[in-house]
Amino acid sequence: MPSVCMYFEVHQPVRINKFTVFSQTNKPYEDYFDWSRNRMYFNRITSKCYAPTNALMLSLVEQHDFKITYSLSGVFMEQAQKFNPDLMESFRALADTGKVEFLDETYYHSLASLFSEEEFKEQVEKNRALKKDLLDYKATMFRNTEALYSNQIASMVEKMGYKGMLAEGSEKILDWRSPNYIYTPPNSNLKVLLRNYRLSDDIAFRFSNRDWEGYPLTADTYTSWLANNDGQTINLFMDYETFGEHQWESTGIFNFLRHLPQEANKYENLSFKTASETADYPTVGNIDVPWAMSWADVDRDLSAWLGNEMQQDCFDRIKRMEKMVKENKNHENKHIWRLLQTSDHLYYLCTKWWADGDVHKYFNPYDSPYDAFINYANVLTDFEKKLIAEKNELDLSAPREP
Amino acid sequence: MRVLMLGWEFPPYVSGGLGRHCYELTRGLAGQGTKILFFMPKKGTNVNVPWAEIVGISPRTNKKQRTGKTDAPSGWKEVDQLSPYPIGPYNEGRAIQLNPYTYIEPAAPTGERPAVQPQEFTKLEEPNYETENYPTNFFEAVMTYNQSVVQEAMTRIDQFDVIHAHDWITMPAAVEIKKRTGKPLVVTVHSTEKDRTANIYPMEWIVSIERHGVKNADRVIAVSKMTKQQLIDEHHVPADKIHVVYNAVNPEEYKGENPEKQEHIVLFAGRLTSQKGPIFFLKTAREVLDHRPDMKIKFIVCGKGDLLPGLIEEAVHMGLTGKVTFTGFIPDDELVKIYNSADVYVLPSVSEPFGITVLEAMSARTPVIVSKTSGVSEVIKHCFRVDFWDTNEMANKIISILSHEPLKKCMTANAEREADLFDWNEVAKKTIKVYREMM
Repeated sequence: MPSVCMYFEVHQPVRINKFTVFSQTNKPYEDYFDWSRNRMYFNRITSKCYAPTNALMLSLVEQHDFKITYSLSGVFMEQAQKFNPDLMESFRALADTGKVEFLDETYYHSLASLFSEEEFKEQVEKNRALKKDLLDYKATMFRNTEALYSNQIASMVEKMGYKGMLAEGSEKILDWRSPNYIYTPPNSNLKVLLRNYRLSDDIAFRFSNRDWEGYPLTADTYTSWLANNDGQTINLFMDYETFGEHQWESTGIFNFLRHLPQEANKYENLSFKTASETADYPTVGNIDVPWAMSWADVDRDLSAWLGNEMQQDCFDRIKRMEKMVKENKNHENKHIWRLLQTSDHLYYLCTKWWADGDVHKYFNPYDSPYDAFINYANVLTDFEKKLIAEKNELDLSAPREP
Repeated sequence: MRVLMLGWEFPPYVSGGLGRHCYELTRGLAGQGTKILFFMPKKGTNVNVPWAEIVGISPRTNKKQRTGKTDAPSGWKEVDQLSPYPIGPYNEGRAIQLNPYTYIEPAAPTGERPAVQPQEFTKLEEPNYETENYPTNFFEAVMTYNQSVVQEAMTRIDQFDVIHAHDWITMPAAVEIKKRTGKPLVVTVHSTEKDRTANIYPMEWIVSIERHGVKNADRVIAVSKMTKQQLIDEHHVPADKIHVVYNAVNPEEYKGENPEKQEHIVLFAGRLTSQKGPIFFLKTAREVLDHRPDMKIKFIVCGKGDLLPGLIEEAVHMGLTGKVTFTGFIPDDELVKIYNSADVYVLPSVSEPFGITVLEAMSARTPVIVSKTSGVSEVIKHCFRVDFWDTNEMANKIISILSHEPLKKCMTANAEREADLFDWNEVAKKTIKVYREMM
């Protein structure tokens, strides 16, 4: 019987302020981002999800044979420090149990892995440093933004010294094979853990769906499904906000979670493992992913962030700024540029309503993706102007050749 | 199923959306096996369609008979008499007093209006034509038409199963026919008096006809949830009696070439009345041009109405000479060309029950900015929604659309697809469902 690897993504974007073509600012960091709204969202989600779920998880890992894995985006940790320092303490308490693992990821929850290896590494390093600082934890495993994965990304991650990483268990790469095994990229020793999307989405998406045949889902039913699986591991990867935010408390999600470990412990061989423990299983085969894939939507590709012209336009503009930002040497400018890279800003521009409408609407603070685009594009334009102005100043003040 | 439909205008005699709606609706209904008997105030020789029997009712007056058009016009024309839409001073001296949409000065001799209650309307066998007061002529013309409609209907009592009226102007006759024949009545509300006047001095006698009509109808069709809510709030119509059926569009009619041009075009198209918010369009134009004097932008105002002279004056005061073009009334084929050459279509309506022009612009692949107080904004996603008074936000959106080709491309591709979903056959199907419910 396989072991179970439960992994939760913890992330909150730093949302952009209302910024029109008329807006001007001398304080870009303050004015590009809507700090009061970010505080409001953060505190709301903390009280609905993070605080109660952390408390529950702590009691579960202490009382049962139960292990879990997290990754925390840097922008999440940064906002937690700013808005709710106690919350980071509760993650620290989880880390201190020794039964909770934390993975590395990009600090800015960005798509840097798609355009610049140097930028990607710097963002991962920055996340690692903050995690060391706040949790005193050093990760050995990696997970990329939204489970973005390709041969090329895997190779970067392996070079950075990680033992393994997480990805989506899509038929596109597995074909007839099961996601319940460890695979490696071609010519590599990196262990890749693949998400069992059916069993993951039973909790993350279908749990409160009254039209679903599995409704209402109880912990003992669910563990019986887990016990029916073959393979080395069942990888249950989902957003942490599943608990209390995507699935409200009234759906019974916390009760489900509360009973899950003890129900699972009734099966002799159904144990919980962290991501790095799971990666100790031997590899059974190769996965070859020449194109980038993700865990988003039904398409499992990049189309949620880069699927239309607006998204590609903004992403191109971000990429084009890299050289100017890095020559600029101003730390605040670099931080702003990176905060603007957070994938959520691109996700809000998605127009794939015809297929995945409901999910996108749920996560979108804008009236429409077109409103989101205007806001984002106006900030990018203002920031570009600022960089160009500073560059010209710098060029003028530089000593000239005689 | 046989329907007696009481109309007001029908192509080629149209002045607004109502005529077009009746044309498409009757075609759709007939296509689904419904037999249509359609009454309208007058009928030129060229008002003929194969799917409906169209009967012209001559309004009787004991003054000198108004002459209808003697030469049959080609193409779609405006209704020049009894138009439910505004006829402005730019309309070659046509009968202003026959226009229910004309803005009435509060100083009008209200005291001399006939104190007639709605239920009495159809009892006026021989109205007193001595009164010369401003609203009275129009009132009489409407009532005379309604009486004639009732008389005509009673001679054809075995030719219909259901009565269907559009807007207040034929409601008195519709209610009377229902009363006399016992046949079920549905009324479609395309706009309320409050909408048409932007709630600035709505005419009480029209409001009372409207209320009388929707209260006595067995079913009411509203063109949006917004209109439905208004009928519930204002006229206390039970919610379960009102069905929302959105308008539709024939997208193919609005496709055209996007011509090469030297400047950006921002378009307003609609009657120039307070309801449509043209003043907010001018204010927006000013804000856009102030912020981006470097961009070549032309603002075009299509349509006419009693605000036209005032708007022209206002545009001059605002320094918009040469930046804003007033085209006056635009025939359909011209409008299609303008839709296709425009870069943005703006509908800043104060109160727009539906807003069919938005679907037309979307079909012509033009990005649209729509006021939140419009029915169409309830159902379309691929647009910008703004408050009609928020000219700063409209300017923000216009400049952004003009500056970012990817935004325009993405929005128009999706909007074109979305407009296709609004199909007249669906409108007919839903209407037939309402008929069946009453039988």
